[in-house]
Amino acid sequence: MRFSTLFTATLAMSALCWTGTSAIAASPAPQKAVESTTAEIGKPAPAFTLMNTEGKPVSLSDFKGKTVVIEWFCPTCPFSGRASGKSIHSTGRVRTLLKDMKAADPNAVYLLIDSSTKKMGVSPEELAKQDAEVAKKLGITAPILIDADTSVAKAYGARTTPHVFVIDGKGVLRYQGAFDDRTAEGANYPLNAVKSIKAGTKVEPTYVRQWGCGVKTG
Amino acid sequence: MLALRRLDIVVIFKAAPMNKLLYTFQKAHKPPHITFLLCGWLLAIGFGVLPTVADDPPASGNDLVTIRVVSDVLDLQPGHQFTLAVEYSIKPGWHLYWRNPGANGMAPTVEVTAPDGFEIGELIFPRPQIFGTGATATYGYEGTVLLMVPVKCPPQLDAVEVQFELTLDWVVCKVACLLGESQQRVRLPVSLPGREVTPNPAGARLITSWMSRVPRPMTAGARTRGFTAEMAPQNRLVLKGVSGASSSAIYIPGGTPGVSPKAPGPVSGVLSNGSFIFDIPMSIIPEDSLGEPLRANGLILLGSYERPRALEIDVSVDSSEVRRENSEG
Repeated sequence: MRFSTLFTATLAMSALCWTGTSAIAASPAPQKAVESTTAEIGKPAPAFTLMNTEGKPVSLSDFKGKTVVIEWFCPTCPFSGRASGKSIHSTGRVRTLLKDMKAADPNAVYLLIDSSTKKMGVSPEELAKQDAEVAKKLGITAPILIDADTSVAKAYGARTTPHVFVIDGKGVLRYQGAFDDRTAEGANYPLNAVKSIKAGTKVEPTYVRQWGCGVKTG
Repeated sequence: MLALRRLDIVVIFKAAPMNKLLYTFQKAHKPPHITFLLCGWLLAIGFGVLPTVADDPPASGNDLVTIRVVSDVLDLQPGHQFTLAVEYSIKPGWHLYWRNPGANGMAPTVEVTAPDGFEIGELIFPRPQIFGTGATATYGYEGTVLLMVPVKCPPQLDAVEVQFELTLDWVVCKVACLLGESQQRVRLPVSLPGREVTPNPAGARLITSWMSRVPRPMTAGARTRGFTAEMAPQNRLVLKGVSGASSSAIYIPGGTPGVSPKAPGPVSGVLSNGSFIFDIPMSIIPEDSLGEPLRANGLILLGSYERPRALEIDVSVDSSEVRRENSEG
């Protein structure tokens, strides 16, 4: 009798925990909207509204008239949010870019988008929490937006972290691809694009093959 | 002799043993209710509410890849060319990347530092595998791969022994990616004047075996053995050749800046009567070439990964012609 009571209790606890897990998984994802366009150089960049790590909505259209640099981000990728000798954040390469970008165009905006929910198997809320912790640890000041169902990554064709996109004040995509050439004193392609947009000249290059960890959208 | 042993197989580090936890139930001491408890526990695990026993996650790419450095010779002679090679043994499920990793990843690097006068060649990659499909496909290696560096000795060698430093750097991925790095040293004695170079049979066998997996170059416009590779009007890359008994022919791009297939990823060729043909619409943007000459480059993979046959394509592209095509298109 004692054993069957124990067994029933274990089953009951299991069922309770399972129900609890389902409830968490079914909690509403951060609000967002993506137009059914794809990212193409010279064409309007796909619009989006995503929640930042503080739960506030941020839209691409909020920055109309400003150049926007978007960096795809992942808190566990050693090229991105995981501290390593190759992380663009922990090695200070993003900080340098932001400083140079501010000098080139004080109105330019830098955003990070994290589409790692499927890759890491975590809820958007958990991802936002992890991102906030990594941002604090690495001194990341730019807003991190949570692409809960990865539809923004799909629309942009974001392949890696970091994969960078530069959008001009009219909302047109002008550059996409690598963050830099991975050398200490080498080319920073998004900075180059920001400068060209500010100067009203042609952006060259418009694409350099991206590198880094894969973005999982499927 | 000591130097020979050191060189023959230099094991740099071994992967840390995986921590495996095993639960054992000893029948003699098993109380009767343990079956019920075990059922409940398994049900709970099935519902995903209790942690399952798992291996510790690897801390770095060094935990996933074992490295050893080999050479095809045991000593050096002035003017002689030999090969240094790095063997990567990769934990199952993880992979390293080819020189063009594809949609994501990063190629491993091997930097060889040698005394003045030595000529260090480019890193040689064997034929890669294709992981995934379409625009998200990547190219690389599972299991074991050997990357090779040709080295040419200077015409004059005064030293008794020469030291080579190898700086290795790699990214190893499954779903997540981890970085690995290693610093290696290889010392080779200089043989006495007039003597033959002493071969390293084990190293030479390994290197020869992997060299046979290196794609054969097929130069632009060349019509060697029935193969042709050329840029056709409307920025099309046309490749023709003999496929023999291969059941497939796949083109994978080399990743040269400014030149890529319009539809990213691998391209399947048409096979007919023992021949293959590719007619690939290319996206050619001279502004994205990063100052390098425009080249349509890549591999044609024939046969299977186990019985490989691969051709290296490298076709130069006339940028003035491309600008005209682009403006008309």
